[in-house]
Amino acid sequence: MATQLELARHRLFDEDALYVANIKLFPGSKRDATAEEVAQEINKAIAQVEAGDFDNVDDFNDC
Amino acid sequence: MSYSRLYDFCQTLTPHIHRNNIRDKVKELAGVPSLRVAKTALNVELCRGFYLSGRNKSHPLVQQFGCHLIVLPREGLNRCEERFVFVKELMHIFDSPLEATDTGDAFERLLSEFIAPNTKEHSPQMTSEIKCFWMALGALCPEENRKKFKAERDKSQIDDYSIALKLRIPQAYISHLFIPKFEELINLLINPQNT
Repeated sequence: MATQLELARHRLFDEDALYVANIKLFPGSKRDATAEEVAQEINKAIAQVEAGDFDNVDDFNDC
Repeated sequence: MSYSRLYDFCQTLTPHIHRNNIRDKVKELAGVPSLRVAKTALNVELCRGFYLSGRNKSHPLVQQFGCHLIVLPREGLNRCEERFVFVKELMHIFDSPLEATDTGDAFERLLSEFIAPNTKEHSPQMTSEIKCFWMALGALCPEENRKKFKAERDKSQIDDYSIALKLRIPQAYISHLFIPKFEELINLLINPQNT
């Protein structure tokens, strides 16, 4: 079975997948998070968004 | 340079600066017709948010959201933290092609640099991560306000918590506004040709 990092690489950068031009992230609070853990989190988030499990934010309420 | 124009725009605003204003100006300056934001489950211990730009227009996510998407966690960040995370990720719209994380190798290297930064040399991708942090700080705190806060802080008339409340950014980042090299850092960001 592919690792989370391998899955993220395919999902993000394959030409027939997202074919991402750029991805950047704000790291979490855990100092010793592994690349595999972070990749898993990104995989999960993208899977949720693709499945419709997200809240759309049209505008922020910064009042 | 687009960030320079954003910075100039932000100098005309009064804290706390609204994210919608920064977002709309960034879209205008970068010529980006659409930028979408989605909140989903994210473990903030591992990742507090991310920006991605997809090129495959046949992909359902790109078809639904367009090319530019920022993902934020539904839970785990207070308002100040979420504001800062969003603005920092938004700054990546200004990334140069060299700074873009557009390959698996660049992505893996970036993740490893977050864990163990190379003291001698950063990848262009990591450099952009650092730059965008300072770009976000510069955008969220107009210089006139920063100088006023500094004067009051130097006289112990205000603390970092109060400044954080006025700016609506995390208290942890307030001290960064007052490092001796702050003005120099911002000048490098708004005048990169001077590097």
